[in-house]
Amino acid sequence: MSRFVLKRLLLSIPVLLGVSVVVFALVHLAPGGPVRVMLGPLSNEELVRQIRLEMGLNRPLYVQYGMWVFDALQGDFGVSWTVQQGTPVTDIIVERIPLTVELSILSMITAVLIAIPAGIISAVRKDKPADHAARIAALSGISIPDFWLGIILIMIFAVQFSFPWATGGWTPPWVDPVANLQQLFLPVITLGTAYSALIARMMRSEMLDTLSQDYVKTARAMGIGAREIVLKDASKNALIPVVTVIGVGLGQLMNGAILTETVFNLPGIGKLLILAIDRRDYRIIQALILFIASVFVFANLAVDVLYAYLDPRIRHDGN
Amino acid sequence: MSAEPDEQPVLEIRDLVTRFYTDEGTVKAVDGSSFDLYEGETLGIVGESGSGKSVTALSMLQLVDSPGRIERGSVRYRGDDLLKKTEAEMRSIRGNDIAMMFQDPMTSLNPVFTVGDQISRVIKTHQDVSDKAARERTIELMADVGIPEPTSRVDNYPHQFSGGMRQRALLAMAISCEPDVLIADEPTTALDVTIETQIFNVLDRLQEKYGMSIILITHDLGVVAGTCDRVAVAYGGRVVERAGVDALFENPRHPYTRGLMRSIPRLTDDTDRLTPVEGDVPNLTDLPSGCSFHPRCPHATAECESYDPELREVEPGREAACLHARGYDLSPSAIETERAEADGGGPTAPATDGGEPR
Repeated sequence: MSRFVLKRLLLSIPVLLGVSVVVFALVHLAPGGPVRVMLGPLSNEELVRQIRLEMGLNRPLYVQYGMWVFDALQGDFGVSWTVQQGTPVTDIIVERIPLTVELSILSMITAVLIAIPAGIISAVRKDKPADHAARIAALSGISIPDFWLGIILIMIFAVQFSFPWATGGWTPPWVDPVANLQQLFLPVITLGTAYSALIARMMRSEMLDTLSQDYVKTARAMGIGAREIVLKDASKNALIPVVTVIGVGLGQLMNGAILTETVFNLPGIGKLLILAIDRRDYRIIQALILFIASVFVFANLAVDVLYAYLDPRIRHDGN
Repeated sequence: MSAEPDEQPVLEIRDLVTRFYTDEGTVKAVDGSSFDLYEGETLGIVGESGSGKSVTALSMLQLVDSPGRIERGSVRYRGDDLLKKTEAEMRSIRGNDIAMMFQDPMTSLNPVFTVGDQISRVIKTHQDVSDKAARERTIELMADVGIPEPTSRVDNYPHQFSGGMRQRALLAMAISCEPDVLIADEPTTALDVTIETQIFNVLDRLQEKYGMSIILITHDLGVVAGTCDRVAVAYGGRVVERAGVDALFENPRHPYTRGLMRSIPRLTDDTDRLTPVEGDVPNLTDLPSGCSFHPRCPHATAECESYDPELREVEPGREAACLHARGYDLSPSAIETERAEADGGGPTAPATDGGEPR
């Protein structure tokens, strides 16, 4: 198993290098630039050229890329140009990571805790009222865009009922855990709904499939109880493909975090990314995208490891 | 062995009817099936695919799922009607008193649990034993069914077993609580012939060791001849002939059984082609009127189209559901007698063994 993990870790290096090239190219190809943002629309062309020269933006792209990668490999992502001038990029990002990580993990846990039982109940009660209710809820959850859901939730809870905790903002959990959870309540619902719906639908169809398998028939013929068959025999098999969806869905969650943080005015990395793109702060954009890509790669690795744990066929074939 | 024993049967199935209510119509999967299973014997249930054999077995254990429903009939196990039992009562019977193993060993074991865990779980479900004792018993059982190196194999997953070994593991699981009755639904259909022989040898040995009665569901008359004591031939969702195995092969009384016999290849025959049973298996959503075999029957008469024959004794220890089963006497007077008996509903007159026109 450790060999497998090591192999996968080595394989992730070229992936991340590739990501860095693409991001670097895209960012520099976008029109405008940090200098124009700094100087404003009425800037003097001569001044722009001079500052670009000072910032090294006039050098060939491959040289700039080389320098950036060289520094990045040593953990130095430079200082911010336009978002927080002079502050190291790493500091800016690290400061905002806890919020996004907390938001994502809470959304993920909530979604899984709701979706897995919902999917199981839906499958066991196929074509009964509980199933219909769960399926309608899931379909709605997938169909509603999260930014819209967020706005509606704000309108109901903040505008209509004026709940003080519904007005956005973020208090770190180590400062005030209760306020922290209250503030994240609506964002978690916003971010988790579509994700949860996706998992529930997948879980339902996988459960329907496993419940009709011969090994379930065998277990029943041996006198094993229905509850044990559903929760043990069928669920463990059904979870194998669902774990993939959960892992891949983490990407969707990151996407959603950008919108959710913007709607609820949460100072996380999603909001930072929007700000950095707006202000052409290349260094922040590059570092952030690389960070998000790493999360992706490691989530996929985690899925594969989990897969091997759930499915003995993979565990043994791997070696 | 072929004569019906006098004692009380272990299992007594009477007029079992199971239907599936699908969008395409009602499927009469089991349509009035009746047979008995006696202590220590092996009863073969033979028939083509779609003759309702497997559903009969599933119905006996109340394992029929929606849209299927057991409509009526009785399944008496040592005098107790299983169809009147609650699900909880059935759970303690399944695997404990009556166990069932299925056709496909490749899919009948759960891929994510070890073989040993799956067997010992059955033991722990029905008996109050420690994990350690259950595991030891599992290893014993695995040795019993001929799995080599059971102490290490017990921790293997199903995918590390071959098809034959998996079927042995399923057999070990089925006998783990020493059931009275083992229902084996096409246990060797998915396996090759050498493995088939091995499995039947194991089955034979275990039957002797544990004194089980076995119901063997198969479409293979060769298997029946080699392993069974008595046979029930299924057609169109019911049993159309019951007999001891020797008597059945010597002198099949139902035209369908005769057709089946003719379709077996024989090494001693010169014929180039086998004689199939003409026509198709009846559509269980729309069974023919009268005797469901009449459209395919070479002996069918006008009566067969309207009159649905019951299973009745044609000679001691033998029953057949055919108007003409008493030696295929197709003379008008014989049919007349048959009808009079049917209308009168009186006890069946002692059977006369007539000649058989060929």
